[in-house]
Amino acid sequence: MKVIEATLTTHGKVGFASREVGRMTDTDSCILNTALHYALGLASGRYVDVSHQPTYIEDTAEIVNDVYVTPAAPARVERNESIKTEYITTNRNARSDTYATPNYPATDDPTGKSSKNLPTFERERALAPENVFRFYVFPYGRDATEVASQLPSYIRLGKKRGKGHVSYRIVNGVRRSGEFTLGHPLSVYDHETTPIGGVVMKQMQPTPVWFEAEFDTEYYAIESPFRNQSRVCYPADAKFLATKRNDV
Amino acid sequence: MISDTLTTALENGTVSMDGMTNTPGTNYTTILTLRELESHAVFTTNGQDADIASLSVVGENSSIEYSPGIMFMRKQTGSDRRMGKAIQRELLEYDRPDSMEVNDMNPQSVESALYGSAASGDDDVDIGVTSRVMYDTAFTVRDASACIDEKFQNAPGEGYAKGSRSTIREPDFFEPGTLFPCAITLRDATPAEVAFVVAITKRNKRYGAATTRLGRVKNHILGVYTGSEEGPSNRELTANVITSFAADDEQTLSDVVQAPALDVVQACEYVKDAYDAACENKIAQEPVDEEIVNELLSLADDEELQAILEAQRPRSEAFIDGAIDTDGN
Repeated sequence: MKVIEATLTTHGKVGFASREVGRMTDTDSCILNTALHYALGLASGRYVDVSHQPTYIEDTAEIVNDVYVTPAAPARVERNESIKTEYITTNRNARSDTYATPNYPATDDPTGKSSKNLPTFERERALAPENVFRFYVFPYGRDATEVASQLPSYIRLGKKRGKGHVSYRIVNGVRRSGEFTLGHPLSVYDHETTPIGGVVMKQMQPTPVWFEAEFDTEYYAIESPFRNQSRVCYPADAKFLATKRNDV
Repeated sequence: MISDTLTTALENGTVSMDGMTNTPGTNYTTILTLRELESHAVFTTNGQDADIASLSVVGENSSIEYSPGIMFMRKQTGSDRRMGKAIQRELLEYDRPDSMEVNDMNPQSVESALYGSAASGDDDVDIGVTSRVMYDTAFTVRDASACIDEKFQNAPGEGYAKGSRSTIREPDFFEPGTLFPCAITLRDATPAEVAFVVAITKRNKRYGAATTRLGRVKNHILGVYTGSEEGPSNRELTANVITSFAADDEQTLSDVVQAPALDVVQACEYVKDAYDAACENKIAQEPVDEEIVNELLSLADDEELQAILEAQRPRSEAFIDGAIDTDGN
């Protein structure tokens, strides 16, 4: 099967609240496929949100059997380089348009707003420009070139929708069966299989992710981004939030 | 009022006045600008230090890594939104005031329906509106070491003897002449909303901290582009300006980023050329005729803008109310 290998480069500050510790929000160096489906235009949300409940399953109902997008993980640009994620830490405040707006400490706020979780000021650790991430798109039963041509080159991600550029390459994936070591992060709810060992799992919102694990099931051995390197193994027939859907 | 010619010219990147929907589509309009500092400006997030990134620029024969100063997207959005709210207060009469107070916005107003609001401040309907205007982190064309200076600031009061006090600080100042190539993208906006954002961009002249004395910015509006896809990022536009300066003036890339000053007219041309080239090569966007851009710019006057905002106002209200009725039940 042909698989689309996507390389995402951040072109500005990209931040999302993976962790919120007091007045500090922190961005993890993994972009979940829940966000990527919307960013790539495979699912559309709503401009005006009344319910404040995520609707991932409803929003992706039409494409879930045609296309699967993996989470994105930090990627090497050159074969010999180590993977490092660059961050930028900034302060942020939500000022009104009146002329004077004092910042009060959370412990002594005469306006009482600090107890209401209304943002006034906080620190944010976000992804800096020029971070590189890689993810895969599996076009089930569709032509990979056609799917790739419909995916956007520029996407927006995160809280303030920072810009990123995505380039696509069609690579070869061979279907095999047996034991393998996971070569790219897999969202826990996207496949029914369970690991047989070597598990490194990260608790993330809204879905936890397996970063490393050994499985015994059908899988795709995908051509590596670099020559003479072993293939990237990924479970076959993964579906977005498969275990959370009633029709599975 | 928005003319039929203007509506037709923007058709590919906008939705009709009555066609505003809650589901995102693929109608993009980009307003290409070059922000030029006309006075010193303070763009910091901690009140003291300018934020600096590290960017790589690849030229024809060489490449460099340089450290531009940053004008974050929200530094632009915040200032533009304040200008938008101010224009709206001036030209429209709302029963319910619309402010920048996060919990006290009027989501039905033209500005908030376009730029979004996190909380309605209404106990009955708790809604959040996503912005349909997208900004992008902007980078200085020159290196931070060439365009940022530390200056001494002191607020001593009028007493005679002064010790060391917290009123003394040395923040980073961006120098006049610093250039920030910027693309502002509107998604699924109406032609009236495009005219509103163009007017805000044209009329807003202060960005950053201490704007009553500093932060004077001239926004050169270089073009308007419409299409079904988003265009190049500020990072690419900035890199293109640097490589173009180097190629045309037979300089190295390092010479450009360390230059004491850069020609703003040339820079405007390079930013436009970079965007045009991207449209020709790979991006599904088309430049809008210069006449149309001029017509859009001419709509920034009070009278014209008032008519436009008054026409847009019931549509924005209907857009928000319709979404509440559909999704709230």
